[in-house]
Amino acid sequence: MSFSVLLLVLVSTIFVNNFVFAKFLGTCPYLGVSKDSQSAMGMGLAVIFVMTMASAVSWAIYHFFLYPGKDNVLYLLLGGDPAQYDLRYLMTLAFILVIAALVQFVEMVIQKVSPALYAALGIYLPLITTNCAVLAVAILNIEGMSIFGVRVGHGYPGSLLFALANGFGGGVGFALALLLMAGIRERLALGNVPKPLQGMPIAFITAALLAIAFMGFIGMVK
Amino acid sequence: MSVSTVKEVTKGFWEKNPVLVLALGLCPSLAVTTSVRNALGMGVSTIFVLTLSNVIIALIKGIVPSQIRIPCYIIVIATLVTIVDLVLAAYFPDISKAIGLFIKLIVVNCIILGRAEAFAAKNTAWRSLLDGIGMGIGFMIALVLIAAVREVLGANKLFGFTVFPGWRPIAVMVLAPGAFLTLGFLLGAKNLRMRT
Amino acid sequence: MKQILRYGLILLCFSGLAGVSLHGVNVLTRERIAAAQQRALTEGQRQIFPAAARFGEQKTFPVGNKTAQYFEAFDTNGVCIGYELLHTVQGYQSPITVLTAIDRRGIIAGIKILSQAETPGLGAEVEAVPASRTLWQALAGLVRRVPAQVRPAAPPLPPFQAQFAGKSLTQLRVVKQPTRDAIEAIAGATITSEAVTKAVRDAISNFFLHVAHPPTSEQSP
Repeated sequence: MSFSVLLLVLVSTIFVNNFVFAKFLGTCPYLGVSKDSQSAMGMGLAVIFVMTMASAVSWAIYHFFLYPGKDNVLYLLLGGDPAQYDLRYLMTLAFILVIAALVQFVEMVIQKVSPALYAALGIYLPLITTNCAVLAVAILNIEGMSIFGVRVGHGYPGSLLFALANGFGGGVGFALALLLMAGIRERLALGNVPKPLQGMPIAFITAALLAIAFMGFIGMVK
Repeated sequence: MSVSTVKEVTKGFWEKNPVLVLALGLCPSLAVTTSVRNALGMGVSTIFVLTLSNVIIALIKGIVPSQIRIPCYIIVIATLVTIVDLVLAAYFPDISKAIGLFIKLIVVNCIILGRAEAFAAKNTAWRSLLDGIGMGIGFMIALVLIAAVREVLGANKLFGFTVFPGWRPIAVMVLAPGAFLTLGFLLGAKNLRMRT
Repeated sequence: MKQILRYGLILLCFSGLAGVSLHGVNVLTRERIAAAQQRALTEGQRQIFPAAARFGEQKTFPVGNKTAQYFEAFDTNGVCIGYELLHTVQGYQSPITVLTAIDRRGIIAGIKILSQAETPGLGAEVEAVPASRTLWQALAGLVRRVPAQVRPAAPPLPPFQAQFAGKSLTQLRVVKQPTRDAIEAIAGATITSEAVTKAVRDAISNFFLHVAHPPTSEQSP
């Protein structure tokens, strides 16, 4: 996988196929934590961190344990036909457990290593387990997609690099969406919004306008 | 059936509707609502998972230590979701093709874990069953409502039939912004009704 | 320490139970999933090449550095009357698999998109079928009970795919206006339209390049 494709993956996941605006992933935390930019920043950083880690770990789990290929651990240990070790149907179960464990682990490590960082990110970390964008990025890394006419995903060249770029880019795109939204909502709080639309409804309408703006990035593909 | 039994089921339909009132499970209610057909597929899958997970969690709550209850719940939910995923792929390949990724994501649908924590972990299996069915149907009602608005306005279709002959639909309603817009105005309409 | 061991054991039991039950469901559904995919292919084959009575075994041919598949199509006398080519290209955000039916001169009999996951409302419109009736007619029909033979047997091909029928290799370019000599793109989905057209074009040109002298008729056993 060439460097330019990697760059395109980043551009694609941050702008063109932004997780929140184009794929509706992570909408719950997106609306829950975007009331002020301070917490949006904290949540954004935590998501970038966890998504990148989860991409790497879930790729490894899939490649070495679930996928019936040459690198399958059971095949290397027991031999025979790799096809008989096909455990792909366990993907959802394995990934969600890995993500839950990873979030716990990251929380413990950050608490030990950097109390300052923990104070900033700590309360957002447990919320990430139920952020569907994290599980989605892990699954999308495996199922793959077309990026500007190039097929990427598990089973194609550079799949680990793609997974890392997709996870990192997805996190950055989420953080960007969160920060933009927080900035707008801070001002909206001062605005004169019709009573029935206050709170959630106006947040959704704002998200719709932001999504229209992000649709402009579709024109970048040619 | 006693009054409280009926109440247990119907509370999720409107007054405690998981999407429109509790604001849970927003990702699927935005993503799969491009057509009523997809919304129904997602709704039925969620009802299945939610009802069974509620019952199983209510049954095992006695033997699971509270420190590790969340991972145990997640295992139960992920197993049920994978079963739905495989069954859909085998018997309804069209629906599976259209909403496949979002079926897998039922695992992290906050409605399921939310009801497990808030209801099933404290109530009997029978009441959890009723709660699961009710909340699931409420979720499906919200989904179908959003999908109907988006499909009629965005594609001028409902169940594959033209609605207003000769009218040119607003294509953006089927795209991402239309989902946010529809849900925003539906929530606004609900606020208007609840206030008066 | 003892506590942690107990927790680990409980979690292990749960995972084990989950794994076993999923294995069971997987065994039960595996064959049906494969059969569903096979059925989608066979139905597509018949739909776009009604003149063919049956189809041969799947064979492969190279397209660039990838491989595509082809099937020979036979009429009722066992004479080869054309081919069906199966090729996958990259669309806007997903791989698109296209089945193309051609006669022996290379004129397209029809195409069918077997799988794609493009944007709903934009790229996915390549598979959109216009409604044959309005909702009101359908509701009225429910009341009056339309006799079964009035309803069409199979859903019609989407207009985007139907416009490929009768075209030859030189007409496979994408334009944005209504036309008879080229392929009209879906509004707002030029990339997907180009990708489908490229799948058909690459399949046909490489097929005649690499499978130059295909067998003319099948040997009867």
